Amino acid sequence: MSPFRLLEHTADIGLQVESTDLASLFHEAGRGLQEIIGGQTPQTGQETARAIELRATDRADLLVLWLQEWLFLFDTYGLVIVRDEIETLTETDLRATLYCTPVEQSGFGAEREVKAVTYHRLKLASTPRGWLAEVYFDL
Amino acid sequence: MALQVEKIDAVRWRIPRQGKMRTEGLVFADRHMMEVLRKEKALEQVANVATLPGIVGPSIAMPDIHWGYGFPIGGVAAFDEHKGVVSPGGVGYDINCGVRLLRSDLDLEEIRPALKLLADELFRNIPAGVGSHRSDLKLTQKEERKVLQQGASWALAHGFGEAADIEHIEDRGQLPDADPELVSERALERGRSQLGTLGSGNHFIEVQRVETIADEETARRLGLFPDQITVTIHTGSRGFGYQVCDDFIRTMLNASRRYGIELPDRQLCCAPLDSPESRDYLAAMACAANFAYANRQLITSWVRESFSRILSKGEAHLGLHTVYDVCHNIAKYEQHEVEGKKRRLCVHRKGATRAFPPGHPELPAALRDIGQPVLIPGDMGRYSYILVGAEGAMRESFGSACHGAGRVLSRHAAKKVARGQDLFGGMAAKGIELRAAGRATVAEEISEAYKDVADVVNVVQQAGLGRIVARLRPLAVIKG
Repeated sequence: MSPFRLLEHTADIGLQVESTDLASLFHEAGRGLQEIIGGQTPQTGQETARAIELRATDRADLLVLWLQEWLFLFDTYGLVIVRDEIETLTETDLRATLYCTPVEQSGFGAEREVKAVTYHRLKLASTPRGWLAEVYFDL
Repeated sequence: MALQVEKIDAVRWRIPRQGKMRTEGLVFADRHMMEVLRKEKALEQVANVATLPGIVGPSIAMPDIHWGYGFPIGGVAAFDEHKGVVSPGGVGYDINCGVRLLRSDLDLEEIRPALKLLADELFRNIPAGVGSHRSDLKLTQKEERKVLQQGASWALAHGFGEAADIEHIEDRGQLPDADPELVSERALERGRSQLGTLGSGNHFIEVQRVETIADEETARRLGLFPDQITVTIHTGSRGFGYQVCDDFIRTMLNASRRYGIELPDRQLCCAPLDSPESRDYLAAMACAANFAYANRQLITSWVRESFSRILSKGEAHLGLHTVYDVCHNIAKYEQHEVEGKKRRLCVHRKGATRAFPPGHPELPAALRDIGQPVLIPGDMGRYSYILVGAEGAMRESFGSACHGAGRVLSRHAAKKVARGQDLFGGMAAKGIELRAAGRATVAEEISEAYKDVADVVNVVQQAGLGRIVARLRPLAVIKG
C-alpha cells in the first residue's frame, strides 16, 4: 500500500501521508509532493547536496516548512530531490541534507504547477500505527 | 453541525450569524449553484471569514465561489482601517492574478487562414508551462527591484507596450507604496526568471472573436464590434507572489498569536491593519501586484509581436489595444459608504474582480461614464464575458463582482471525465486551436470542470453588480 494518497479538493489538491515513524512521514510527504508535480519518481542524475535547518512552532508547521524547501528548490532552481537524510527531527526543529538533481537529468516531466504549501486543514497527529499527516497545496 | 443558510431572493442567500461569526454571510448564487455549494466546504469558509476582527458588512461570496484554502475563492471581505485586519490568505498566493483584454482591428475572416500558425507562434513566443522562460529576458536584482516599484511602467520604459496601455490598467498598472526592502531574498530569487511567463494550471492566452453584443453603445465605447478578434491574457505574479505570500503567512501566524486573534483555520492568519506586520505585508504585496502588472504588460507586447509576425503586418496596423486589465487577488484601501457614512476600508478580493460603476472617481476619464470593464473568462471550450460595473456593486459588494466560471469538479474528478477523450481533437472539432505544454493540465481544465460562466454572469447582472456587454468565443487557446 502506498504511504500517501491524494485528497480531493475542488480547486487544489491534498496529500494524506501515513507512516510508522516521523522521519519516514516527512520523507514520504516530500515524495508525495513531487509526485503531484511530476506524476512519477525522479531518477538520480548529477547530485548536489543542500544542508537545511528549519525551526517551526510545532510538528505540523515543521512539515509545511519542510515541503516549502522542496518546492522552493524545484520552482526556483529546477532541482528535484532524489534522496533526503534527516539528521535531527524534534517537535520544532529539523536538520537534514537534501540531495538534488537538475530536473532535466531526472526524467521527471513536470506536468503540474504547485504554487504553495498551505496551512488549510493542516493536520499532523500520532495514531496507534504511527503518524498521520494531511496537507493541502495551492495549484 | 450543518451551516444554516436562508434564501433572500432568486440570486441572494444569507448565512445568519452563528457560532463565532461577527457578521452574516451574503452569497450571490442561483438555486442550482446553492444546491452544489451545500455539498462542499466553501460556505463554511464564508462563515470562517465572518469571524475575523473588524469585518465591516457581510462576508461576501460571488456566484463563482468554490472551496479554496482559508478564504473561499470568489470571496470579498472589507475591514475597518483601525479595528480590522489584513490576511495574506485573503489575497491568496497568486497576488494580482488577473486578466487583460486586448481588442484589435482584425476580424474573423482575416485571421481564420492564419489561426494554426498564430497559435503555434504564441505558444513558441510566450513561455508557458512549468519552468519555461525566455532566455532574452534576464533581470539583475537591481532591475527586479525596479519592476517591483514601477509595475507595468517598467515594461513600457523598456520598450514593451504602448503608452495608452497604462491608462487602461487597474491602478494604472502600479500600486503605490511598494517597498522592495520588505521582500525576502527568496522571493527575489524565485521571481527573477519567472517574469514574462504565463505559468500553468488555469492560466492561459486566448485568441477570441466577439460572438454576441448585449449592449451596443457600451461595446462601441470599448471599441468592440461583432466578429472582431480579441485576445485575453490570464496570469499573475508567478513564483514571486507565491513566495511573498508564503513569507508573510509565517509573519501573520506569529502576529495572530501575539495579538490574540482566534483563527478557525490557520490559513486565515492575519494582523491588525495598524500593526507593523500589516504595513509590511501590504508594501510587499504591492511589490507582487506590480510584478504581475509588469508580467501581463510583457506578455501583451509578445502577443502583438506574434500577431505581427504571422500576419506580416506592422504592430500599428493590428490595432491590438488594451481594453482593460483587472486584478482579482488583492487587498486594497478604498472608500465605501457604509450605513450612510464614508469609510476607508481594506477590501480583500480573492477570486473577485473590482467592478466600479459609472461615475466612480478612480476610473480613467475615457471609461468614467460607462463603468469599469469587468473581464470574466469562462472555461477553455465555451466562452468568456465582458461586463461593466454597476451601482449595485457599490451598495452590496464593496464594488466587486465575480472573476470567472468557478470550478465544480476536483482535478482528479476532471481527469476521470477526460479519460479516453481526444481533448485536442475535441477542441479542434469546436474550431479551437489548443496548444498546451502537457495533457495533464488540459485534462484538469476541461469544460466540465467548470460552471457555465453564462449562469455566473447572469447572477451578477440580475443582482445588479454588473451589466453584460459582450460574449467572446475562443478560437485559439494557449495553456501552460
